[in-house]
Amino acid sequence: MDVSRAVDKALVPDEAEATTEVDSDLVCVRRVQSGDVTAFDPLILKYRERLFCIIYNLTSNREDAADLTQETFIKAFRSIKRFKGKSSFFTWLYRIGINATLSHLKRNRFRRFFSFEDIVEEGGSRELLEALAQKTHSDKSALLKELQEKLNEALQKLSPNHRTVVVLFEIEGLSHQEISEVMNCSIGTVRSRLHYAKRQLQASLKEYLQ
Amino acid sequence: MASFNKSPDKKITLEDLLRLKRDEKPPVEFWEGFERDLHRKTLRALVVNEPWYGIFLRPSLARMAIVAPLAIATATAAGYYMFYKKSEPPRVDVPAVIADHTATPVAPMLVKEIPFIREGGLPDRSRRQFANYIIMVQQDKNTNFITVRTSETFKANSAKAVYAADPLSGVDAAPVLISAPNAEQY
Repeated sequence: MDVSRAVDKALVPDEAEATTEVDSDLVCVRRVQSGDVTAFDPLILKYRERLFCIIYNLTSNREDAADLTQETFIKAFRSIKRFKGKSSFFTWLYRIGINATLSHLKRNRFRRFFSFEDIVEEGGSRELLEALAQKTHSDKSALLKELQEKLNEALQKLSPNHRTVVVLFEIEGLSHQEISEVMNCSIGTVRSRLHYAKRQLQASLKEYLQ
Repeated sequence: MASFNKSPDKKITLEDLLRLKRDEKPPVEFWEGFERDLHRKTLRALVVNEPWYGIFLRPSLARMAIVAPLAIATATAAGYYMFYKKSEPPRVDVPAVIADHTATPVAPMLVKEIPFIREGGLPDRSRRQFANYIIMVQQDKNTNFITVRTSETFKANSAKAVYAADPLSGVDAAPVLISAPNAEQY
């Protein structure tokens, strides 16, 4: 077999072979790297909601989250040539997004404007809200608004690093290993941050946890 | 997520509350605006003006930026060395002449115009170099001789005057007065 063709094949995997999520991302990335800029669109469509959700939960502000999500995609697009594929694309993308968000939070630490998204009441969340409304004998919509505010307040009381760990683990569902890659720290650090952050959150939200 | 309908007494955990945040999503219309903004920002990012120092950050020019100053510095050093090495005057046995400067003065005579103020002149740098050379001779020999100015003519005791070949004109050129006791400006 021709060596150069074998190398090319290894670098630009055939789309048919891309079965897993990571592989399909890599196919798109390799296409963008080889000059096909339209291949970046599926990556935007795939990750925009998840990235927005992370950034929104870190900033608690819809406009900032939208701006930072767009900034993240632009930065990722500009530096995609430097993506070597050592980590998965979403880890790399999340790292860019989280770094941009942490810098933003640092720059604007004295400026806090919270804005809320609507909670889409689906299965689990509807049950939870009903149970809470029953326990607290309050109106469901009023409870929902109050709970949103309290959750945001409790999250914003945490340091940005602790907040990031909680958001990535509890809300986004990333593993400790993935979080350590995104945040560029050890798994032990992730665990200890998570433990500390949860203790803080439990103290802030104890009225709902009885 | 705990099933609160099946077991109403089930305790609500922190994880249950936090999972509520997963359902906090923007409406569908939001993504249309998002898409539009992203497209606009991407275009703006692509056509943004390069900063004035950006030219030096380009790979090819970045290499030039390192090589060019080195080349200029090397060329300057080589040129300087070649020019001044050639123009260095031949050694003059100054002490032998100076040693006799207490002898009886002779009537002053016109020495001659210093050749490097001749028509056309020489570069200032050359003059300065020559003047420095003279001063250096005087200081080394700890004499009180008058410094010869590059743009002046002197009368001096010819027997006591110290001469040197014009360093810029070569060994065969007419000698130039370096210093002389009791010299007077002409």
